[in-house]
Amino acid sequence: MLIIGLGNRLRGDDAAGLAVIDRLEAYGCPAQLARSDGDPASLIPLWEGQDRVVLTDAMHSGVSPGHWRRLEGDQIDALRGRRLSSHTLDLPQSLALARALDRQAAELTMIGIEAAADTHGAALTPAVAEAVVAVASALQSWARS
Amino acid sequence: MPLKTRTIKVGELARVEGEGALTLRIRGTTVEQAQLQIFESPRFFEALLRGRDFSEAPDITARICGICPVAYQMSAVQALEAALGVDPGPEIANLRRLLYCGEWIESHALHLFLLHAPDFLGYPGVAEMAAEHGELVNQGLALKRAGNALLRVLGGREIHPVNVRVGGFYRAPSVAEMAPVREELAGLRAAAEATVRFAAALDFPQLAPDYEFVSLRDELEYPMNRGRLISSRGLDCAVADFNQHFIEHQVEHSHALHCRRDNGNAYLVGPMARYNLNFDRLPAPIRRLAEELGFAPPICNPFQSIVIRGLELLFAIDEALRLLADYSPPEPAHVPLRPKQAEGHGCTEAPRGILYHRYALAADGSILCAQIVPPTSQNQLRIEQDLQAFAQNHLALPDAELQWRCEQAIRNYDPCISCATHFLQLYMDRDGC
Repeated sequence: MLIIGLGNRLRGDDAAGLAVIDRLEAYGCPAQLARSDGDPASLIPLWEGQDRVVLTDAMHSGVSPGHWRRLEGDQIDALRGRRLSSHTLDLPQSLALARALDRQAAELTMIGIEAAADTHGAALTPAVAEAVVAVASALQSWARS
Repeated sequence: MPLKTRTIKVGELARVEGEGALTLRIRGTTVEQAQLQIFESPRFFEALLRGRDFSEAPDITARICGICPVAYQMSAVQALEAALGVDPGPEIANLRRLLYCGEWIESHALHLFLLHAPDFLGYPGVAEMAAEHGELVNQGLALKRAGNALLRVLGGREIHPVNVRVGGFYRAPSVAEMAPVREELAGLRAAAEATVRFAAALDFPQLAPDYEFVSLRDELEYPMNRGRLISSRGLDCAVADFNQHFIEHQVEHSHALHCRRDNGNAYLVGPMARYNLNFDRLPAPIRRLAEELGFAPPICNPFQSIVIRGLELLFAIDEALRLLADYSPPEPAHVPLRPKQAEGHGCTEAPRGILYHRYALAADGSILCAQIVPPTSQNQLRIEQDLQAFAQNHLALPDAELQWRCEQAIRNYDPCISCATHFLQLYMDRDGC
């Protein structure tokens, strides 16, 4: 299993995916771990040809901050709509690109953590910091199974 | 007969960088005005530099942009070293040029393949294009990745590199660290040449504005980090004289200052300007390829800028390989600096064109004043004028197609609105019969 944390440490709750990987490293997680800023040129080669990939990232889906859920397939695509990045492709676009290029993982799951704020230079908000602990703990037991 | 009003509105123009809108006012058969409205919040970088130590400028200004942070670092260090009267020497100059090659490669590959090519092939985006042009998109991703790798190894990380300092680098990578990057780049030269051939064979809408091109000009090299400012209309001045020849203006509809020539005219910076003014500085194989494909200068159609970006992408790979061929890490990787009261100017060729910095320093090295003039802010007026001319020539097109063509025309400039002040929306108001 490969777990990829996505995000930007300088943008408040956007660092949630990376913070999950930090904790998994500290746990000595048996899965392969990776971090990404989401650039498709780097992200696609990471998951290409992998059997089982878990992405963890902050999201804005309209639920309450800190709420986290498992998303697959169309549910990830449905995160499109609000443009999150102007410099590159967002995650649903990168996944669509990988499918078109036949460079996707055999099985891909996303753990989305609802963000409260992506303030420059801010720490994780308390609800998201709590969710990071819960997600890391859940992924650690999942990776051992 | 009273004129009818037609309004065409695009919710968001994708595949450009930053937040803004474009409004075209069309009355009858005349496009009266094109306004690029940049409503991205002002970012106050020049103000927040005041009081900071000069050594912080490369890292602070790098945060202006995620796609061309190296340009901000290069102009900042050049200006500050000029102020302090320091020349870090040829080895550091070469290492900086190598870092800049990495940025040109990743920025040009991103724009050419992921943002611009779908326009010419008629797709809404790169994912749709990839279904039928998979090999092309894979090439683009591989090229961008190689540029990223160069930034990571030499810059410390891909986005907002942290290894650049006034006076040189914090640490020069070892030969062994550079080796895989060199191998990756060498393996992509053929893909870069195929990219140029692909771009040259596209169909280009007609547009030939009478541009004043402005770029750096170096005595020896295709310009990146060094040179005088020249234009296609006879300007030839030192970088330190920038403010005598280019005037920044505040306009009501934009949070980014417009920059004009001292005679009030618009001018164009970027790949087309660099290429037309410095073709003779390109290595012979690149010139021969351009000539073979029928793209020797002058190239004045902005839609053909995709070909120029391809040629510059190929050039940047060759140049990086040349610089890597006899690479050995400079030791030390930086020269000592002594703060003093002084003023310095810097101008380097960002992927989107010239980027000017000016700093005034106090005796303790703190920054008294900073001025930053990014390429997109210099091109704003020119983009508006081109859009007006382009829309005028295509008024017969149905609304949806005209709108799509105008969006494509904006992407010719690879505008970085984030730099200039960020998402573009296009509004068209038509009063027509």
